[in-house]
Amino acid sequence: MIAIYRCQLELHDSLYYATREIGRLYETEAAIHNYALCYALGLVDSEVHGTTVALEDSYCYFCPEQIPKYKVHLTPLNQQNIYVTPARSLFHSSTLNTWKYANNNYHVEMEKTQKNIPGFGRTKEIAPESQFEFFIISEKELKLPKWVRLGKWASKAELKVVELPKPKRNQNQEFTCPYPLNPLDVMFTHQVISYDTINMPPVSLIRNVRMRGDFYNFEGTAEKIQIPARMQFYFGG
Amino acid sequence: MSLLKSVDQKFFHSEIPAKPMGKYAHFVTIRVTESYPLFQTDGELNKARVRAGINHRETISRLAMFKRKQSTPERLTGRELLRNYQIGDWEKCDYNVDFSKTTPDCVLYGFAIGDSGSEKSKVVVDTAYSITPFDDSHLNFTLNAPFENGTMSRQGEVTSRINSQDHILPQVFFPSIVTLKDPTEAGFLYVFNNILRTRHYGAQTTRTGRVRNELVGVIFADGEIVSNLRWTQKVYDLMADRGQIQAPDPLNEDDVLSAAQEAISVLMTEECIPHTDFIGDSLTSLLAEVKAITSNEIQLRELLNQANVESTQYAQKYILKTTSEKSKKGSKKGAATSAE
Repeated sequence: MIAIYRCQLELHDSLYYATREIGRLYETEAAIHNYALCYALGLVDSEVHGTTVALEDSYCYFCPEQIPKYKVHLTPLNQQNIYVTPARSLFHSSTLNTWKYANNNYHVEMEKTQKNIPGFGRTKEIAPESQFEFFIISEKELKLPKWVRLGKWASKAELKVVELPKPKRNQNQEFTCPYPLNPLDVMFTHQVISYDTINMPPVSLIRNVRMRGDFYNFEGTAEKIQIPARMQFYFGG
Repeated sequence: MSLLKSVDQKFFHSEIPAKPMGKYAHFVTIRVTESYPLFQTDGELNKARVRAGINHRETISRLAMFKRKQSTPERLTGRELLRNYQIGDWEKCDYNVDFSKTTPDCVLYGFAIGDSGSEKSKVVVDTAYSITPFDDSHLNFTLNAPFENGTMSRQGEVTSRINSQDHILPQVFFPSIVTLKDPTEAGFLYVFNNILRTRHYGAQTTRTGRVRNELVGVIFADGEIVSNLRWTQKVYDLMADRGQIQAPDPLNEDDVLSAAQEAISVLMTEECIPHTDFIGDSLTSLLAEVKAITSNEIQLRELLNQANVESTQYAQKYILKTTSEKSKKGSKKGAATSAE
């Protein structure tokens, strides 16, 4: 039995991750990737959700290398029939901050840099009290935390979850989905006709998608919500 | 080794775990400015436009004390102690330049070194917001650099070394919760000691920026608790309803501490996770116990040594293994680093 949850995130701290790097300016896009949300919600490598991974791939404090393991970490969510959509901004504002590395020597001289590591830069961050919205499609009832941490600075955000009324499944029709989607997760089950792109790593997102395929809709919601069915994390091969 | 009698050992790990294990210690503090500190990044004080209170819905500008402006001075306090007592790899560890990866500081507060891995921080600090609005919490000062004789002119030459700068006023209050994930007892005391000892925050002019940390509570839980912003808004509500916010006068510290204690207690009842709170009398006895340890040189050395033994064991077990063997880590975008 599928349940669909509508989730709202309210930032209580400024949110930063590098969507785009323009010289020394690092910009945060006002959309949160669905891979990032899976980690933030604690769905990855979790005994509670039945998504544990092999010991050598487990999610630890120390990372010997900066290579993500999305496929290994997110495939167990498919097996548990849990899917998280990317988040869109309901409203947001941005702030610009400068950051630099601290140094605690009494005597400081400018030296030539030894390594190509930026010692200062400016970040365009999403301001506190901005709000985001996303959906979780799950076969099991999920117990989610009230407070989650997001982005490079591990910024606290409040999570509010509302279960939508029982979803009605529609077979193979043309429909429009305004919410951001991960194209990899829908293009193999739906015929995608037109869309807008949000460029971001690791996979650019699409929104305002005109598509054909199975979708869920709901009776009794204030606005018309249509969400593609059969979505799951897809990594090719 | 058990140092604390007032805290159940079940809240601590016996060794630093490799994975997040869901034990959290939250230090609930109020940071009180005692001189004219500066928290700025772009030549002006950091501000955030947010709601005044939970019930007072109007938007105000608040001073913001960014995360790393809080955690960095606290880290440096701990590192200075390690150097002073010559604990572990104190000589080999250079902050933000060349981490040794073995000291309690490296392991607890994290590091990120391009090609030799990264350690996520177990100490998480959030941006703290002033209770009072920006307009009532800052003042613009002129600053100048006079000649030897104390004036701005010499033999007809007038110097242009004069500028003005916004400063934060004394007695501005920043409610701030410092979260420590998966603490061992020694790690808990190490971070606790850093919070109690650190006295200067903000721009490193070293002559201003004195801040005192008042502890309101210590909360052990199995997850995250309320945010600084929500707590600050609750404190604002309580104080505004009691008529204790009389701009442009500074807030009364006793009023702030009692409102802060009440606010955190109320907010904790709204959380949906198991938690054990040390607030009020129970905090007093815990604080006395901690201060007894940290103010006694022999016990402090023991504590630092124990923290170092644990961090070194952790490093040997998980970090210093040849990184060529594709060892046991998942990685996620963004490693905890500490800048600022």
